[in-house]
Amino acid sequence: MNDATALKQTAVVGSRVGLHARPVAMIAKAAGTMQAKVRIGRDGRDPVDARSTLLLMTLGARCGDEVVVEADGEGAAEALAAIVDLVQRDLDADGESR
Amino acid sequence: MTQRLMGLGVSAGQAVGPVARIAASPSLPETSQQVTDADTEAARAQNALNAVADELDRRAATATGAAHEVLDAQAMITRDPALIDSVVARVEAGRDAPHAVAEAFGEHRRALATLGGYFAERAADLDDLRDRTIASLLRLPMPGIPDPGHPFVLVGADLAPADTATLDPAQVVAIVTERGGPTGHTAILAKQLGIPAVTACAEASRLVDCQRVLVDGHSGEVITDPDEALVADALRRQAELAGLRAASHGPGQTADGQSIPLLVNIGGTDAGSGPATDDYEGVGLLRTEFLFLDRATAPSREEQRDAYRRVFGLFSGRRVVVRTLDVGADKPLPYLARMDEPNPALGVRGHRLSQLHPELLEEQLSAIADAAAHSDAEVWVMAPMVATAPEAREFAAAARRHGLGRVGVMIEVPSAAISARAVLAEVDFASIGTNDLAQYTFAADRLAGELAELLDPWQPALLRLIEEVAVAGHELDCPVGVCGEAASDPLLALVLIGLGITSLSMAPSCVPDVRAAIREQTIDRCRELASVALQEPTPREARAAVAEESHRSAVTS
Repeated sequence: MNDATALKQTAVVGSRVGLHARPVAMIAKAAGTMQAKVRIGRDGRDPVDARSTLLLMTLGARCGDEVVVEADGEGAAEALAAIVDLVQRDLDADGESR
Repeated sequence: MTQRLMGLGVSAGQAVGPVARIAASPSLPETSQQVTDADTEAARAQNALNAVADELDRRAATATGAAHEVLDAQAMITRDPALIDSVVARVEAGRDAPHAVAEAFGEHRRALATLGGYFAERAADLDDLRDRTIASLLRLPMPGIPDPGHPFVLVGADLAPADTATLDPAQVVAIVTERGGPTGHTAILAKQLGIPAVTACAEASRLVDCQRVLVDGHSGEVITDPDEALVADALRRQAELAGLRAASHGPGQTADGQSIPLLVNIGGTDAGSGPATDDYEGVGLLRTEFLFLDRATAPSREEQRDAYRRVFGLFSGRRVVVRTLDVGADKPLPYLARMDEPNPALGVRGHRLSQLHPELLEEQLSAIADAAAHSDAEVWVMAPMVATAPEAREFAAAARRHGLGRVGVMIEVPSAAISARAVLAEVDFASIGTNDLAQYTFAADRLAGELAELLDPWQPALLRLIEEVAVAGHELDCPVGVCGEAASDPLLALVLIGLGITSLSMAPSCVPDVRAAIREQTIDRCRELASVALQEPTPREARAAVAEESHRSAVTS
């Protein structure tokens, strides 16, 4: 982990349910297929491995919260863009009615 | 001796059978063994985790829908790199594999449990995965669903998601758990499988294997050693309901022929390919957010028009109620200025957004009107989150300017329900969103699992507000429907009709049960059931009292 060379981008959580359940599984699954190391942090706390659903859940990020996604290693730019996109989408869009 | 235990009815239906309890968790030896070769021991722990994950994958492969998702998520946790790292670190510090596994799961469990709510429910998932891994390491019987070789009532402290996911409804006739809430896995999956279920029944700890119990997944009652008359009665009612459900088709109406249109809620990317040929009378809630979310720029008027036209085309001759855009700070759109609101549920959302972005509403109404003009569907349009009569008037004027003939509002803010006469006087119809109306009436966040009882649609205060709106609707000859969770509960549907609700909109899968239930009762009986519900102090008592009363009055053919 070399923070100095990692690419970083802020993302707003788009999933209505926040970062747990299905959204977390989809993000961890995507991160698991990437060469680059991707981490997600929130509120200035140490960023966590994006491949870990357990650690992502402990961020406690709710819909509309800002998180910081960072990536380094091979294909870091593409990995960063892909994970930021997933964070910002509503990955649980077919939830219950209002 | 017959005993009556009370829990929370989470999946309707009645069943009788012998109890079979879930196998106990493996117990961990008190002290950790001496580890001579840390690498071998770490590999042993990893192999056990992999074996558990492989088994979950195998079961996920044969499951579908929610069950598949749950099993898949469980397998992912068992392969979680952070979990494996903490197991390996503990083995390297001298712990044997079973203790290292137990402690690593414990570490992550604590982290989730302290977050509360949804996360605390996930903590129970970890216990199950830990038990499976430890059973595998110690060569103990795998904890999980028993297999007594005959149909049984499954009883346990709580079910692990991995267990509920692959339950066989032919073997498991009912489920009773000591813990668990209305939104837990047991409730969701039992409903999906159609297995009657009762959760949060603390006294179920006293039930023993082979004891005969009658489970009522609606009232939440579990009756031990029931007498034959009770059993016969329950089974007869269950068979009747199944028969009615199978025979039910056509429009919604009461036993005395009062028409209650049964509509469906649709939205999301599937809205253009819904099961339009199914047996219901139209769409009571077309959510339009799907057109606006997940994109960098707002959809053009033409793109919207084409999307609406596709949906309307599927419902030729039927009603389609379009709800205009319902977003806010909790569903931010990148192309609108981001509002930092400390409390998005109480912020600029729904119809309020059109104050800031009038062009959004204008374009949407124009696109809906254009699509409606080119279709045979009966298009109605309504605004979300309307709080006052002037807001309703403003929206109605805007919609009518675009030539839309049936204009309404959602009633989901208590002020709109309290001022129902003034609000309804401005529009042609109203639709009550019971989920948000409950959230705002009870000051209880819809996402907070701990507050589930306050959000129960059987809450008498909520029913009174609904009545208030329905009565105003009758006075003004303005139809008032319900499009929240409440409409999908067959028993509550009777109460809503009794309160004066004129149409019900729900998930498509819920229509047959609701249709069958309302065909059994006359409109007068529905009114009596509504007054029974209003007299009870709690949702649980209201449900129980209405259930009892409705069995007495069902018109059976």
